[in-house]
Amino acid sequence: MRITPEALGELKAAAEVNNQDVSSFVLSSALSAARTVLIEERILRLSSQEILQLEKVLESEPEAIPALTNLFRKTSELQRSRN
Amino acid sequence: MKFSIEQFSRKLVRNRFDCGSDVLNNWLKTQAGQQEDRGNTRTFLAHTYQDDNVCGYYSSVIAQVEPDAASQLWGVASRRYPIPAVLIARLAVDKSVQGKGLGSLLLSHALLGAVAISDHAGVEIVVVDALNTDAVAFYRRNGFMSFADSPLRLFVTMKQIKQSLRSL
Repeated sequence: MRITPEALGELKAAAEVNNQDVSSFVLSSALSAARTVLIEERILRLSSQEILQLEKVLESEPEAIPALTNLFRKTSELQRSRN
Repeated sequence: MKFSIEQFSRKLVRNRFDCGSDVLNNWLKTQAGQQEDRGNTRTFLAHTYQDDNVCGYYSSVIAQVEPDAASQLWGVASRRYPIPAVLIARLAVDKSVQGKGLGSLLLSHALLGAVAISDHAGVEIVVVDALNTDAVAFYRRNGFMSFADSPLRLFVTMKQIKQSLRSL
């Protein structure tokens, strides 16, 4: 794929924010865009590292996530103030 | 600003929607209706009380999570797969109302919907596919965690959601 130096610079900067190299950033972004178009992708396949990550969370004692509690509180207040 | 969130309906006007992403705009205008008719995707639409123009939406589907070929080969998984999931595949807000809390309202609506599904059919996690790093930041601010090898895909477990609701 041909790319202008400006576009490459932007990709590098964005990849850096995400702690990725340019090619994995491009691949994961393209995949994400593809997923957004093809919602039919219903089987989500996880890498070994992701399986371990997910199982660790699922197996641990479930705890409230303050950010989520805030989200529910904030949005229910928003809804109430409208009635 | 007052918003109403409703199940997909052709009575609401979708063709003026602009969230700044062609992918998300076009999906709403050209695909959402067909997918809704098939019943394989549910889309909820937001509009203001002033008019019938769609100013935000999300769509979600039932999905399942399982180890990829390499992790199956390595045998890292220690529980039963697939894991049932709700996938929030898209969530978008029109430029005209960005920064007014509609994204949070839509996310909260989608999560409460996932809780209702889990009470009837069993769902262990909620996964979201973010379009870009701004969207990732939005989900992280709301308690989601990125998957280690795909930062644009994030999750939260149903138990975490329920626990968070209990501590309201």
